[in-house]
Amino acid sequence: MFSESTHGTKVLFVITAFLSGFCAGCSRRDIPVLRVANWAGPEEIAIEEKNLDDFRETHPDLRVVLEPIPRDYKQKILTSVAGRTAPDVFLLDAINVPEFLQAEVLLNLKPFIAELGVDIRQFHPTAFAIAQRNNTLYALPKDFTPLVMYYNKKLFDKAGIRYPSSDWTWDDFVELARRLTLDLDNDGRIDQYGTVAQPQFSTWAPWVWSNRGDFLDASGEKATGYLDGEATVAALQFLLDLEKKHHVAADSAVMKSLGGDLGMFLSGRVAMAVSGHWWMPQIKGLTEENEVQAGIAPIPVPSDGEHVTILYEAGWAVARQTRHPTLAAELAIHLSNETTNRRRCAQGVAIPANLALSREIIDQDVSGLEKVFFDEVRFAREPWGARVSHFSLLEKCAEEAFAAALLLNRDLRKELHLAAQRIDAELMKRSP
Amino acid sequence: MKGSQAGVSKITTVASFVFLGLLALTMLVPLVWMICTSLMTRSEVLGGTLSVLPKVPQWQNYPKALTILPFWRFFLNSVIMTGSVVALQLAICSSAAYAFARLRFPGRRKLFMLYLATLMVPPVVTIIPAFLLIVELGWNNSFPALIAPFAGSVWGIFLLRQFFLGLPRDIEDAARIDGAGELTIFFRIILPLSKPVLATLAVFAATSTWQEFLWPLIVTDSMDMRPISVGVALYATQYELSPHYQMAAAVAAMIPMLAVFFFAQRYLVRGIALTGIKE
Amino acid sequence: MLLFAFSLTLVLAAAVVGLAATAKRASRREALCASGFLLPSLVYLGLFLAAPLAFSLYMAFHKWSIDAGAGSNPWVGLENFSSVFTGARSPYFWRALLNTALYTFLHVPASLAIALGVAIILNHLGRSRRFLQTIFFLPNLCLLAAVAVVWRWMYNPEIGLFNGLLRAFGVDARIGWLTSPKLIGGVLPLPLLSIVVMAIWMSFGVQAVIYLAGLRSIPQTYYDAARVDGANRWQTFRHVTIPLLKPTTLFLLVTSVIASFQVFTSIYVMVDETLLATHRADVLVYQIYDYAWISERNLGLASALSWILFLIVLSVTIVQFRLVGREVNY
Repeated sequence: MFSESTHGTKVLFVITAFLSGFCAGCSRRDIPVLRVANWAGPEEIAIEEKNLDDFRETHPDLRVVLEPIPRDYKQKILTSVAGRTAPDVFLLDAINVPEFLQAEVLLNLKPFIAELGVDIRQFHPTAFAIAQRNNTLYALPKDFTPLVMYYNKKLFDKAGIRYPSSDWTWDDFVELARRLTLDLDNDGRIDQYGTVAQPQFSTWAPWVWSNRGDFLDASGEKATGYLDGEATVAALQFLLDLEKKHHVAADSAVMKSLGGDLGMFLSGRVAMAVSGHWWMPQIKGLTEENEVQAGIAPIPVPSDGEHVTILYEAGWAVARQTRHPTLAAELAIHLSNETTNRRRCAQGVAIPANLALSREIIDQDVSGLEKVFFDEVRFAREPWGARVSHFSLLEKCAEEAFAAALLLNRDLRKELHLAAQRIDAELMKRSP
Repeated sequence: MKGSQAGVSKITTVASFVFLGLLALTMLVPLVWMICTSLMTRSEVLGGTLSVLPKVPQWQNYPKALTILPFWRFFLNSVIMTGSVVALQLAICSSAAYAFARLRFPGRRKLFMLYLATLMVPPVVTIIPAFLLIVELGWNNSFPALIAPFAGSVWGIFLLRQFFLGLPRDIEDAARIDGAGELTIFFRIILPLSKPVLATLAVFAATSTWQEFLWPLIVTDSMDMRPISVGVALYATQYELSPHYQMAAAVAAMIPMLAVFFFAQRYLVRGIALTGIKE
Repeated sequence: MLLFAFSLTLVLAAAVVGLAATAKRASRREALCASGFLLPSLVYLGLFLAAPLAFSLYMAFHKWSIDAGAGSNPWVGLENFSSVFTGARSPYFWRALLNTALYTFLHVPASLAIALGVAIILNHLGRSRRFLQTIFFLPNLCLLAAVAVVWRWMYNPEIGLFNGLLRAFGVDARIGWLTSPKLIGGVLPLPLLSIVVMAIWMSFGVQAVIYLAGLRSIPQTYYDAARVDGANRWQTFRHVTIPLLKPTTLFLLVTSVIASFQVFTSIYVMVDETLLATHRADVLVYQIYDYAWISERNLGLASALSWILFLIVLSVTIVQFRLVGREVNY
C-alpha cells in the first residue's frame, strides 16, 4: 500500500495544495480588499453580511470581507496589528479604547467626518463621547447599553409578589430575593434562587458607585484608598453576602455549563440578575414561546445612595495601518448609519447609537422594556476601561480578590487591600 | 497444573472482557450525549434538568447547523490542511528517523537529544515569533500558514526511530552486502516493513491536525480559510448560545474522521511476518 | 525575524553537514548520506522551532510588553528569571509547579497501565478488535471544543452525570468537580483530579494503539522459544513482552510526561473561571499564559518562565532515559 505510487500521489496532493493556496492568495491582490472584523455569532453574521451588501453595491470595484472572531477577540486583533495584518475596520469595545490608543493602532476619524459630511448629531451624545478625545475621534458608535436588573415576571406572579419599583433599595432587593428563593419540590434542595452570584468585575460598578465608592481615584492612577475604601468594600461585601450570608444567590460555579447566568435566568432557576441589553435577543425568542416574561428595573440603590449605572458601548474603529484609509473610514461610517443599525434591531443586541432610530424602537415597543433601558442611560457613567489603559490590571486584581473571598473564605477587606497595593505597585513600575 | 491454568485463564478472560466492556462504555457515553444534545431544542439544552434523551428529536438541527455557517468550506479547509500535513510528516519523519536509527554519523546521539529537547518547549511562547515569521513570508490567511508549522514532528521522528531500532537488521545487512544504496534500502526494505507504524503516524498526525485550534485561529482571518476546529467554536459566542447546533456540527465533523480511522485500521497493526530469519 | 530564521536554519544545516564531513573516511559516505536524510527535518526545525525558540530566549532577557507600541523593550538581564522564583506572583508559581507535578504523576502511570492492559487484551482478540479499536480511539476524533462541553456537563454539580449516578446510589452528592477549591490530601485541588480523569480518558486509546503496534511487532519466535523453555503466561509477560516493549514504553513514557507537564487547554477551558482567579488550580503553562496575556502582559516574563519549564522537563526526561532507556539491541 505504501508503494512508490501512493507516495507519488501524496506528493502531488501536497504540491497542489500549496499551489492552490498561493494562487488563491495571488488573485486576491489585484482588487482592493477591505476587511471587517467583529465578534458575531451566526445570526449576527447574516445581518452584517446584508449591511455589507449595501456597501458592496455602491463600491463595485471593491472586495469587502467579513471576518468574525469567535474568541479572544482583543488578543487576536492586537496580534494581527503586531503582524501588520490587522483588519481595516473592526468593532471596538469601549473598554479597550485607551489600550488601543496607547498602542497607537487607531486612525483618527475626525478629518473624514468633516470631509464626508457626516452629521454627528444623529448619534446619542453619551455613546459618541466615549471614543472622543480632545479634537480626535477614534470610533463611530454602533450601539450601547446600560446595566440593569432583569427579573422574571412569571416567578414573581407565582409567588404573589409585586414587581420591583424603580426606586427600590438594597434591603428591598434582599427581601425580594429571599422570598423568591424556594425549594419547589420539597426535596430539601433549593431549586429556584432569588438572584445569582456574579463574580465578574463588569457587573460590580453600579453597586459600588451607587454606594458612593469607586475603584480608582479621579486620575485613575491610584487604587489604595478607593478599591479598598469603606464604601467599595461595603458594596462588594454586600454582593458576597448574597451568596454566603443570605443564601439567596445561586452558586456561580453551577452556571458555567448551564449557559451561564443567562441560561439560569432563561430556565427559571434565577429570578433576578444584572445584565445588559445583550440578553434581549434570547429573551425575546422565549417570550414568544411564552416561557419567560422578563421585566427590567434599575439596579437597586442603597438607602441614601446614588442612582447610577454603567454604560457599555461598541463602535467601529479603523486601523491606522490600513492601506485604504478613506475607503475604510467610509465603511465605518456606513456601518454606523441608520439603515445598518435598523437591520440589527431585528436581533436587538443593544440600543442603536442613532438617536432617531432608538426613539423609534421605544415607540414601537409594546413591552415598555426598551424605554427603561433608554431612561437608564441618563444615569449611566462610562466604565473605567474607557478612561484608563491599565483597566485589565484593575479588573484582574479585583476579581482575584473577590474570588479568594468567595471560594477560599478569605477576608474580603484584606484581599482588596492587597489587590490595591499590587495595582499601585504595578502602576509605579509602568509610569516613566 | 494444566487444569488450574485453564481455570485461571478463564477468569482472566472474563475479567478482561468486563474491563474492556466498561471502558468501551465510558468511551460511548459522551458521544451518545453529544448526539442527543444535537437533537434537542435550545431551551431543552439550557434547561435546568438532567435530560439525556431529547423529547422530540429535532432532526432539522442538522441541515440548519450545516447552513447557518459555511460548514462545508470549514470542512474542506480541514481536509486540505490535514492531508498535506500527513503527507509531509510521513516524508520528513521517516527520513530523519532512518538517519537516527540506522546511519552512523558523528554527533548522532547528541543531535537526537537536541531534537527531543524541542519537544519540551511549551508551544505557548513560540506562537508569536512563529506568527511574525508567517506574516513576513506573506503566508497569512493561506494554506501554507496552516500546513508548514506542522510539516514535521519530532514526536513522529521519535516514534519511527524507536520502531526502526526494533527491526531486525538481517535483511538490510544482506541487501547492503549485495551493494544496495541507502535510498534503496530505505524505500524498498525499511518502509514496506514499517507499514503499521507509518499508518499509526498517519492516523495520529491526521487526528491531531484535525484538532488544531489555537494556531489556525491566529493565522486565519476570513471565514473561507478557517478549518472546522475553529468553525465549531463559532456556533457559540458570548451573545448567541446555540449548543444544539454546535453539537450537530461537531457530530457531523466527526463522521468522516471516524470513517477514515475505521478504514485505516486495516493497516494499523498488521504484524510483521519474519519468516526465515534465524533467531 | 525572517532573516534571522533563514540564517539560523542555514547555519544549522551547514553545521550538521559539516559535522558529517568530519567522519572518518570509511564511514564518511554513510555520514553524508545521513545528513541528506536529515535535511528536510532540519529545515523544518530551523524555521519553525529553533528560530522562534531563540527569539523567545532573546525576549526572556527583556521586558517585552505584549501591547504593540508600548514603547521600547528594555534589557532586564536575569530579572525576569528571578522574579519567577521570588517575585510578587511567585507563590502562584510554586503552587503551579506542585499541581503540574501531581497532575503528571497521576495521569501518566494510570494511562499507560490501562493502555497496556487494553493493548494486551486487544492483541488476543480476532475480528472484534477493529471495532473496539475504533471505540477506544473515539476521543481523539472529537473536537476539543465539543469534548469540553460534554465533560463539563458530566461534571456539573446539579444535573451532571457523575453526581446523578451517585445520587442513584443514594449518596446525596452535589460535588463541584470543577469548581470546588478543596484540596485532596491537602495538596491536590479537586478540579485537577477531575481533569486527570478526563485526560486519561482521552489518552489511553492513543497509547493502546501504539502499544498494540509494538506488541504486534514482537516476532512470534520469541514467544515460541519461551514456551519451549516452559514459561507460563506471567513469566512470558515479564521476561519477554515487557523487555521487548521497552522502546515503546520509553517512547510513551517520555512523550506523555512531556505532554502532561505542558497541560493547559483543558484546565483553561474546563475549570471554573472564578476558581482560576484564585490561582489554586494553576498549572505551569497557565502561569505562562497569565504572565503573557493577563496579569503582567509581559512576553519577556512569559518567555523566562517557559525556559524554566523547559529546563525542568529536560531534566525529568534525562532522568527517564537514564532509568529506562538503555538501548535495546538484539
